[in-house]
Amino acid sequence: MKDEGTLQAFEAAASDPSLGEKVRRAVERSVAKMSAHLPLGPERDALRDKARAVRMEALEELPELLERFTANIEAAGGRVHRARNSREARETILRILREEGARIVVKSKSMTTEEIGLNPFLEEAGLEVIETDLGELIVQLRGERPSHITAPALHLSVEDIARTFRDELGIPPPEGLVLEGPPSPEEVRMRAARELSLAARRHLAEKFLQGDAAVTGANFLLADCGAVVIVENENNARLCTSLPRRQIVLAGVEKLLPSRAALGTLLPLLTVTATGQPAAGVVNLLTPRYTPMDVVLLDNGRLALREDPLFREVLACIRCGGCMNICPVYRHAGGHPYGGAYAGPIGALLRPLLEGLDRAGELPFASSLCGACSEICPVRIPLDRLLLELRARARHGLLEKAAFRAWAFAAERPALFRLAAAVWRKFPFLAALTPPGRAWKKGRELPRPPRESFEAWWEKRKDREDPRKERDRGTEG
Amino acid sequence: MERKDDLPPLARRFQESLGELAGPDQAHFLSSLGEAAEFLREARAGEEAVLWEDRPRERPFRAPLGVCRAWKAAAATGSILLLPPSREASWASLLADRVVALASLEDLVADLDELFTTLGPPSPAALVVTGSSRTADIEKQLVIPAHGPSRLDVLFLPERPDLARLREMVRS
Repeated sequence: MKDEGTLQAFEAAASDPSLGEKVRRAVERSVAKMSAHLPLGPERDALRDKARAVRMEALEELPELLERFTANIEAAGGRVHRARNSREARETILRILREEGARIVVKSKSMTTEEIGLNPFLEEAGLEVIETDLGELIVQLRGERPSHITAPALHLSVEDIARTFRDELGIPPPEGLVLEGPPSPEEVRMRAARELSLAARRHLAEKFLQGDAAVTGANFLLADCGAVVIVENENNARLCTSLPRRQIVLAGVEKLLPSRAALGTLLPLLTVTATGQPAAGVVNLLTPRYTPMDVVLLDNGRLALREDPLFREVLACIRCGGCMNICPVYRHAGGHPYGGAYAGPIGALLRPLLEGLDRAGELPFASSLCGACSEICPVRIPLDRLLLELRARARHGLLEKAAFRAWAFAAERPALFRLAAAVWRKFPFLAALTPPGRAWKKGRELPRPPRESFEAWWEKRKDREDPRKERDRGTEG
Repeated sequence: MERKDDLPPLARRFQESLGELAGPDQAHFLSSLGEAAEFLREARAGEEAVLWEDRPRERPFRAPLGVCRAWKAAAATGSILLLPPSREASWASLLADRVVALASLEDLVADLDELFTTLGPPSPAALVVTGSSRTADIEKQLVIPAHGPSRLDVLFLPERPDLARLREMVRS
């Protein structure tokens, strides 16, 4: 397999215990709040079934919905652009910004702009790009990728962020917060979180007014009224879409929904799974009659994926991040090792499916297949089953194939199997010399062989009375 | 002046939902436009500094107080529906530090599902707002305000409120 970087990234992340600590604390809070409002169970499953049906029907009707959406946006004076890949999307957005004479671009949170690598591209073209979501601002200042779809900076502590604001914005760290050494008491840290959030508000207040154009994402696109749906808490998306002269919306083609009625089903599940909120702070439904609007619809492999009967349902994803919150692998490693815009189980599917197995073929293996993601998914994507299917499609190395053939050969020949097992019991260190043994030993101890084989153990006790039989007789009598 | 004991169940639910947001946001149930005018007189910092949704300014202006119309309210989540006809009109509920939204008890529905299925013809913008602006991006610590208003008061009246009349009453 060519995708060596993925493995190394996961290894590096897993070797930093403080990272897992921070990630776990953040996501466990979201999951606890979710469970308080909408616990796992039949009631939640009925909602999930309904949400899934809404999304799958929309994917079925996607070509008609795209047509209707485009017609409605254009009738209201907006423009719709189709981009086949990241490069086309980046160039389209830059062209619109140049047309507008824009110098300063304000952005509200969008993982799709992350997917196409928009920020570095615009900066190279000489534009100033400002992320306005607090979490996005923090990772932008640090030159990092978001670590989570809905909580970009959840891998950072208050202290990390205080250092970043001091170094990048010249904002003095909150009083009493210890940056080096043993951490401050929790109440000091939480007061510092508040002060830093408010400092970011002050820092960005002027930027919203200076922005010539805004680039936003979209949670959904509504075909029947030609509207873009943006869900947020901070009101930064409202400011981005209500002050600059022009709004550019980048959205994957799969985000189409037939009508506003679908939102009643999807939005509560989206917010409660993402952050445990019954409702988001603001749901924006915006049309070109409100703000001059260009919508860039990104394909980037999605339409081909729609034709794949096995994996089409991956496109039903509403990007809540629930599968990340619950995933034991994500909880140890955070989002960065997934190497793309989307992390966690959904990222382990999306990246290889959209970019190709040759570029991200190791990702489907970055899962314990425990199935917690499929249980939490608001649109019931069977993530663990699809990860397994994708593993089957990933190319296997010759050595791996040979190893499994050798195993099969020995397992079918009892004498050979017994001999191999006896050798292992006698010389356990031999296992550590094989390539899989070496890989295993990097982070874990190899299991010690049992003193005797199961066969030998069974031989010794098969003539004894079965203790269960005795007990059964006891209860009968 | 506020009705407390004889609230209809949906109104009570709305009030509780807004309270569960753990912020400064409140619902008030008034019996006349005159009481709303009184509420605004007590709340505002000075006449010129108030942003009225139906009297938009030409240039962005950060104000201590903004007044807007809420066209529907969803009890289960404490959400209100705003229909600003233009970007300038939306500043009243966005650039003001404190926002007062006027709703009618007639427009109170059970939940977001009912709100979205009973929307009227498409408008330039429809915003479903739940509470003041907030963030929890630093260690999941809830902080109010984020980039928008720091407080939202929803005033419910028995009839559909008229902002122009209310403005006159506030001035007189």
